[in-house]
Amino acid sequence: MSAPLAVRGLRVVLPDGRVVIDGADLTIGPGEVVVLLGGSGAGKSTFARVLFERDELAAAGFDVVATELSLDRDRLGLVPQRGALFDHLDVRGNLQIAIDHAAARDTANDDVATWLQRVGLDPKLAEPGTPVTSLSGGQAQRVAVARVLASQRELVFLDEPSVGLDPHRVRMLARLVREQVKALGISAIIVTHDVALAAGVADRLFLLSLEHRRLEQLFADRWPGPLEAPGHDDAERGRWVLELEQTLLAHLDAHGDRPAPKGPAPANRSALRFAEPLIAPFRTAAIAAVRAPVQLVRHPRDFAIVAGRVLLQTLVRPLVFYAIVSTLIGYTVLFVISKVGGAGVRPDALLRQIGGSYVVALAPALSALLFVAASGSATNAWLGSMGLTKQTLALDALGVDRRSYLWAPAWLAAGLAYALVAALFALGMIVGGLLVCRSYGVTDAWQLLTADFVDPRPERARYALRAAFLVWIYAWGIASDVVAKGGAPKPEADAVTRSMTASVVACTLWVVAWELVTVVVVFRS
Amino acid sequence: MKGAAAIGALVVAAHVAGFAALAARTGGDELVVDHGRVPESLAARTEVSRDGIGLVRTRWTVRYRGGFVREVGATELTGPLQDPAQHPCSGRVIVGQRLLDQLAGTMAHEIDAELRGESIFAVGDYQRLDGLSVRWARLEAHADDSKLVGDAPHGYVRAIATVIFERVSVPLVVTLVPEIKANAMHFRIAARAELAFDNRVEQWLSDKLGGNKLATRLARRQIDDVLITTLAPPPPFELGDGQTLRFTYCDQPPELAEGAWAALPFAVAFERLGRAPQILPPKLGSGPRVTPRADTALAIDLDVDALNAVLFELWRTGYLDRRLAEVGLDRRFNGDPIVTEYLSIRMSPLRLALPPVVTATASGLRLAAEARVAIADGAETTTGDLYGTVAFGFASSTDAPRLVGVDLGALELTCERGSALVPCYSDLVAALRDRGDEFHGALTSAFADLLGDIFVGRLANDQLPAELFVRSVTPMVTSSTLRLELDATISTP
Repeated sequence: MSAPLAVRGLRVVLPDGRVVIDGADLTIGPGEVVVLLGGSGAGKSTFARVLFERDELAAAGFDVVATELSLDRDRLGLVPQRGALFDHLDVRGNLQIAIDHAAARDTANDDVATWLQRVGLDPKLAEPGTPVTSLSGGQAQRVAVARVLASQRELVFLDEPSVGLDPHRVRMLARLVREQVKALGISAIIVTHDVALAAGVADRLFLLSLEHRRLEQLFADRWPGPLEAPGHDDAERGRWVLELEQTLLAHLDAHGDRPAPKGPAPANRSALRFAEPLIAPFRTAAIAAVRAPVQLVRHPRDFAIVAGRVLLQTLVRPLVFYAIVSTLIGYTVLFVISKVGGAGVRPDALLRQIGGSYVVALAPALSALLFVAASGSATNAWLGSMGLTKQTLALDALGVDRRSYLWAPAWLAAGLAYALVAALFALGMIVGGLLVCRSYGVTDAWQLLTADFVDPRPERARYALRAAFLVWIYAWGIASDVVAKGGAPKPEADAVTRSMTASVVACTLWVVAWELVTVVVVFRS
Repeated sequence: MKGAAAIGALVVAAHVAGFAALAARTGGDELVVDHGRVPESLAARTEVSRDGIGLVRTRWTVRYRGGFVREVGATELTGPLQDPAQHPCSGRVIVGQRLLDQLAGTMAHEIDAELRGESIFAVGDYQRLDGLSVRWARLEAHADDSKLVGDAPHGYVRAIATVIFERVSVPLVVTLVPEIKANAMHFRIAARAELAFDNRVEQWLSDKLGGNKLATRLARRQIDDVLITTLAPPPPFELGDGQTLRFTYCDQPPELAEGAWAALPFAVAFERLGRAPQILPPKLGSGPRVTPRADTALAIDLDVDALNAVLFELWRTGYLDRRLAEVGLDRRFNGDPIVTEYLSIRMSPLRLALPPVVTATASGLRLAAEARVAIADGAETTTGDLYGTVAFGFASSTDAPRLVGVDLGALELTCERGSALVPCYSDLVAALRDRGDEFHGALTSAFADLLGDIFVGRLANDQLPAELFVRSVTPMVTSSTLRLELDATISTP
């Protein structure tokens, strides 16, 4: 069997030209555990992103080149920092999705409770409805390890797995990793600052050198192997931990403040990056439209979970808000219209002239703007937070295509939710109008206000068509933009809010543009 | 990325083009009626109705939810039509005994003045006239008059009085039998003096007096003229431009009821329209004549045929168009502050395309009219056919229904597009129709003025030996006949 990972001459240049990794070499053999140590800014996380998010790096302007980069993503698993458990799923769901998408599906390993037991967790956590937010940090980390083990990858990448764990739990984690690597016959790369974990688990130790920006093996000729494995006593472990720490500190003392060398910036793709926000929604729409039916057929449960979450965010939670606002707007608009005639003009005659045209004209735009601000932002934030907390990265690492699993059902649900909100909004505006009609004694007000929808006069049919068209184009347009911007990489928390703002702006412009275009078309045709 | 951008632009462009194409094809079919045919897509939901008599309105109606209606209408004049060469009796003048009694008083003054100063040898000087009464009479009630009257199947006028001389009182009986000959009415007069002398001397006195001659002379000079003037068709009505609306005797005799009333049938004269001789007033027929009330002084009955003949003449001569122009519906509309401020359309003066037609309804009369109007909207001018009906409402009372108001009924506008008819400005017309209440007072007043001008003005007639005061005119409809009941009194000047 070939090595699950072989990297030679890896060079990563940041968009500003700084070289964060310069000529790194690494080959992992079967059953081997390799630990990558390094200071802050040494490129440990970037190395992980090279393995799992190479496309995103390229899209963000990174320049990634390698003499050899041999990896099979289907053979790689990942435990991101802090576990990155999927918070829209319970504990069982987090493992089940790994089992369902396991590289080598084995019915003998389909039991969630068994995987929990493997990492020393109570199998009761596998009961449906156990939220991941109820877990302690250590439990969450172990669930994350169990999840990646359940995905049955040949090479598991653990990114800072000991963050937040006490020393005892760090040692337990090291033993757990060793046991599972041995039991499952897999390899592992662990990126960590934690010398105790490194010493306890590593077959080989590498330092991401701040001096040379490449991987340098530590203690190559005298490293005794993983110290949490049988055959090593505490004294030996203590000496090596101390030595390892001193080596690391010495390196950081010497090179910790050294900035990354500056080279030429990667080829300028600013024009394309500028166009990306405009293009991404269309690309998202195309991807989602193609993948949604496939996902619905192949993974209906996953589809239902994500779509249900999005419908909850976009439709159910703000339902009362939409109902109240639309009714008030409907009442206000028609009331103002009834007063437009001034003294001597019969308000009921004005209302009969206006009919339901105010709903047909205003409901799509008003509902779209509100939907973008409330519902769209909610989904945007949710998708963004999944990226920010590495949940999307964890999805990828489980072999779950985020575009199929997340984008497609979210896109469809958001579009559907908008269509329903538009309908609800129209109904609310009609109800508001009915109240005005009642106050002026207009008979058959329901018939009057719904005529443009149910049985429009010939000259009104175009307006009804326009409303339907706008709902259609707003539905997929908003859904596409929300999913595209929400699903874009989120390197920091502010990126989430930037994404929400950008989406509101983009969708508002989308709405305004289509309002204008359709008005011109309707009146000129 | 460039490919994605191109696809995105393509998607947007495709949506714009698709929407434009859809919008161009959407809108459903407008209601267009071309030679009686409607678009196929609307055939199932188009209601076709016809209503009206004489002036028949065909409507093609499509109803939409919310009470919105699109309607196209076409109006046609349908037969049978009246023949201008014939003069069918379609109206009558009714003189009640009440007015005749008042006229008798006036006659007494006239006869007294005539006989004043008369002196006859042996009889003495004329003293006075006692007990003059004039009565609508039937031979069945006055068998003694048969020798005097001869044949009078429709009744006659019976006047009695006593002429007092110094030595003799002479009771007189005068009968006047109306007859129409050569399109004119005259009275066949017979008279006798009721002298009952029982000796030869007195018989000599009678011959000397010449009582029968006296009675005949008085009847011819004082009674005949008054009756002929009173019991005659309405005089011609000047329509301007040298045109007149004329009423003529017809081939039916006068009818008299004992001690109650006399009625003279008459016809409305009308001529063919030169440019469209086939257009004539409809012939709808009349219902049974209704007996005048006991207290009727003077009344005019007009069948719907008479009314339609009158309207036809008023239309043919342009009188109605002139009156419409005077009313200035177009000026009122165009000058309305709401129109000038909010609407872009302006209308031309209305011209009646067909003669208005009156028909009888259960509660009164209904007048239907069709006018053509040019509607300008910016640079575009559309020819419209404005159809309207006016209902003359009558409330029931103990004796007869009385006019309570004139209501604007239908008000419909259909526009012409080539040979096709299309609905136009329907919301605007509906709004005007909804404001119908505002027109009722004006319509009622206009209607009363028109009737007064044509039929009541005749009473200012200097041929009458007294002044006739009309305190009120009450239009009524009885058995599809319009009756103008005149509360009239006679006063001696």
